[in-house]
Amino acid sequence: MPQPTLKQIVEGVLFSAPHPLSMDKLRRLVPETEKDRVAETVRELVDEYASRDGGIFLARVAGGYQFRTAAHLAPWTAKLRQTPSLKLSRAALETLAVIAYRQPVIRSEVEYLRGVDSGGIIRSLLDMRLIRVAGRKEIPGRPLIYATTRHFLELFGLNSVDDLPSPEELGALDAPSADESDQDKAPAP
Amino acid sequence: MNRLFGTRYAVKLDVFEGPMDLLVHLVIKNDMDILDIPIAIITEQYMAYLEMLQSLDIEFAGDFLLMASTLTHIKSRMLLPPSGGEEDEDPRMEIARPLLEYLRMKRASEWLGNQEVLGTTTFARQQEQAPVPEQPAGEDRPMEADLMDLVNAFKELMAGRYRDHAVDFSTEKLSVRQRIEEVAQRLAKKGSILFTDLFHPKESKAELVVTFLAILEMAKQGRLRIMQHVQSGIIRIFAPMPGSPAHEETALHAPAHP
Repeated sequence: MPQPTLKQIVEGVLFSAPHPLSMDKLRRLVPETEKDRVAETVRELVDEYASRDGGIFLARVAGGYQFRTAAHLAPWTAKLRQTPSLKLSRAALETLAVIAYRQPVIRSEVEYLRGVDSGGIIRSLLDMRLIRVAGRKEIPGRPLIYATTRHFLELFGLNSVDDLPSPEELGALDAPSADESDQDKAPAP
Repeated sequence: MNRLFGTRYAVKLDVFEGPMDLLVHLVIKNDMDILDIPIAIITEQYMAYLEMLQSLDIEFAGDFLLMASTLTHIKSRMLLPPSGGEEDEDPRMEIARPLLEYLRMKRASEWLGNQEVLGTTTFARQQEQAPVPEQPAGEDRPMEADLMDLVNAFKELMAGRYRDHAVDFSTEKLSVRQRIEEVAQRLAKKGSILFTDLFHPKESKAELVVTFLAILEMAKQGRLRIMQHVQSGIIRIFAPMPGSPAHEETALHAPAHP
């Protein structure tokens, strides 16, 4: 048997892993290899799969790498999935967004921003493991502090919370969002 | 009852979840500039909406009233001549700033909603597949229960009791350490016990909590294993594996977080 190449090893390991593999983990699997070479190989694989434009791609999520199916194949790939997919209401998405952007954050801050009671939604986000309790704030009442989880990053395909687009990237602030305005409105100058 | 609740939720939750939602709607409908909101017009429309809710006999949260008072307050401050002091900021900023912030979050939540979510549009290798050898196949096998399962089981247990709000003022000395020894003795005798059997039906709430704490502490110390039946969800407590060193092996896993 010929000695496998580093690329073969990395590709095979990433293919079989159920979770995103971090660069550290990959390096530990091939301790005899130079560190830079592993990173280089992963980058090559990412590029190869991207240029190949096939059914899967190598995604960079939650601080690691993972093979995922192309999103436009969902009508077919989703058929195989028995577990119900994540369904979040508008209010839940909004609360999740506030926590993702403002973390670490306490409930009263979330409620101040949203202008409504958010206790129930926070609890269900906790149950879904999209957010976690990250401690208590040392102010009167010692309220719980919330932050997003690794599971959140994995689900939303983010490498880290720094990957969240800045408000500027999300578009002009005073222009209404598309689904909200039914009339034509000139974008802010 | 059902019809009433239906209407209530349709108005309160689906259309406007809160005062901010309503304000954003009014700003957009009137094509207003958030930094230059005609405060009289928006206050009037806001109040009209609340009145409409009231005339329909629909209850709305106090949040809506708070916003109404904020708007009225801003409106009254606008009528005052500028004092010339340092605090001569446009009173409308009090509402403009949270509105901008709210819109920002709305944008972010829309962005999140448009992401290719794992398990919805994009898929990866399934996580729960490793077959455990020499276990009954399929769903008819136990698995290690995690903290969430345990807490949920305890919640159910508590919910099943104490529907009546009986208050017991008698004080008893409850010790987790003592309870640990009791559970350990029962485990040593029987080998395994149903989670629910550890709680006596006549115990007080405090006693239930002490027992629950004792179980958690023992799991942490590796003095018991907690398994859950996959299909039925029934949780059973086992004596530790023979030879497994206490204080090292734990069967209880808190969910892994970074």
